[in-house]
Amino acid sequence: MNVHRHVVFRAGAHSLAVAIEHVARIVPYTTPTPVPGTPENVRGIVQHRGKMLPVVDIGGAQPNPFTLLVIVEGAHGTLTGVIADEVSGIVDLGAATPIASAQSGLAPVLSDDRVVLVVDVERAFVCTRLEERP
Amino acid sequence: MDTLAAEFLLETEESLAAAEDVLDQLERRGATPDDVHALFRSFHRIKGSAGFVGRSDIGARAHEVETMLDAARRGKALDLRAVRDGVVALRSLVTPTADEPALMTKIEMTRIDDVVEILGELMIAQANVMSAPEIAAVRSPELDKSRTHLTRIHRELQRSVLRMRTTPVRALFDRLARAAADLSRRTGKPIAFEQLGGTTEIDRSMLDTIESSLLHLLRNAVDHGIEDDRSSVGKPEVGRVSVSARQEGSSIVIALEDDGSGFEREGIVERARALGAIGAGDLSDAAIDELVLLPGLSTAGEVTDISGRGVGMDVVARDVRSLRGKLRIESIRGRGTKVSIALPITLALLDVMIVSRGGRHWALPTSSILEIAAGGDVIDTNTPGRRGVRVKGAWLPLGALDDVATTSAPHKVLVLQGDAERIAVGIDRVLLQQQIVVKGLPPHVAADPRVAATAVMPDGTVILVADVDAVARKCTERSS
Repeated sequence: MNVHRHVVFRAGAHSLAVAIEHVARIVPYTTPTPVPGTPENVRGIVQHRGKMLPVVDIGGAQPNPFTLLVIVEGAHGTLTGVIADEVSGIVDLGAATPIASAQSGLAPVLSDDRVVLVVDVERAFVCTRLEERP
Repeated sequence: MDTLAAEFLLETEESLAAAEDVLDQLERRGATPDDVHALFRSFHRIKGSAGFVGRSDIGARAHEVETMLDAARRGKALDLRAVRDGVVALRSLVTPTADEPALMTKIEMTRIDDVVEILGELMIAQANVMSAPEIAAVRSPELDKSRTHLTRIHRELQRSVLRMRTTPVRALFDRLARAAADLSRRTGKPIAFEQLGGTTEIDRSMLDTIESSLLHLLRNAVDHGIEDDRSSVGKPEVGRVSVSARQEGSSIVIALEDDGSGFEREGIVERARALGAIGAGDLSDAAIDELVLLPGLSTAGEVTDISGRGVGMDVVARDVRSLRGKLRIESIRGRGTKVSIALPITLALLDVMIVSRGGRHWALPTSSILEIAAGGDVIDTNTPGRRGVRVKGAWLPLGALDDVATTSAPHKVLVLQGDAERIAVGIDRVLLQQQIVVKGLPPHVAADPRVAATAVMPDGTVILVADVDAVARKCTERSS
């Protein structure tokens, strides 16, 4: 049984966890192109293998040459890059205890005495357009 | 046409092609048991999936051939001609008829788009290799020749791929002709429908949208344009409606024209006033014709069965805009109406000028740029937030590509043609002019409407493509 296996990575002050089946790829960080009108945590967009994807900063990471981009696949195959300082490893969060209710798609759980924010990929990165595009 | 059915047709076509390959081979060297098995599998697969999508006509025909092949597997002589006939018959069943040329386009389009995508990557890789300092340092006539050759091949490849994306408008025009005949019957108005320029090619991805727009315009023309009693206004009894297509520079212009009554401008103005869309002042005829594009304003005086529910022209205008097209209406009272839609030749490629402003790079469609002028003095107007700039003596509202506060005065201004009016935007530098492969924003990203799309530069960075109409709208919105 590996239904609860998560990729855990550090992003700034937070430990984030994404279910392993939603992690499409982990690549080196490249500077995104800022897009006006996007929510504050969207640093911009980058292209990966010809596809455009938003780069999301959840933990307030300071990009350096070792920064990574965890490419997460959400609903309908949408791809989102999450900035990560380092990948901590793959952890089974099946027995982890939820310690608070999830907010904006992030559910805090306790794993090995550490707080890990489990990313609900269907909710965390879906931001409807601010204005209806013509 | 749903994807499942489209997949089925494509799969059947593949099975038939495989069967033909086997037939070709065994005609040359005689049948082996393996060949018969392979043929059997092809027809069996067609039969199976035909049942799945409810095409019993195809299933029955495949079953006949399959039975024959099964007998051959048991040692009966194989009648090659009968198998060939089966292939031909099935192909005619799956080949789109003239009625439905768009049958397989959805699947084909995604495949073609994949190729365009890969081609874009190839272009980037090629540019990276070419611009590598190690390569650039080599002085060799041979290398120069190969380089030129490579560039030429690439350009040819791009051109042929883009041709795969286009299709002649004739089939679409034929469908309009049938719709016109049907409308003529339903309204009891005799109509002569003419078509011109059917060989003009348009991007397949525009077909569905443009067809619904043209159908709407056609309904308007027959229902409201063509008069009920034409002899009383001294016109021939048969109303004339024509559709035409032609290439004009880098645009395809499709026009639908009728020789009917034209817009009744007084009525349009009255209804627009009633809706509160306009004030009490006088408007030019052209400005009045533009009013029919407003939501809720129909060109019809009354609601009829066929059109005139007050929804329509605004939807057509929006659809045309979504295709990066422009809509133009010319109407003469008593003489008729002509609606022209100018569309880009392809949605995949765009000629742009890349400019910088406030450290950001933007790509602007060359077709929207009227002029590059020296950065004049920015003039603040009495309206807060509304600024203008004087270009060659004329005052233009000054728009912005984004809301990033830029304190420095622009070095240059670009004069842009927006939806309704001309505006200027300040820029620091013109970097280059080139053709780009346009990519949409990721679907789950909310962004400023002034960002139309994105493109990848040769060095792999992403650049934003500005929506000039949205920039103009934003700039004039502030004034109101």
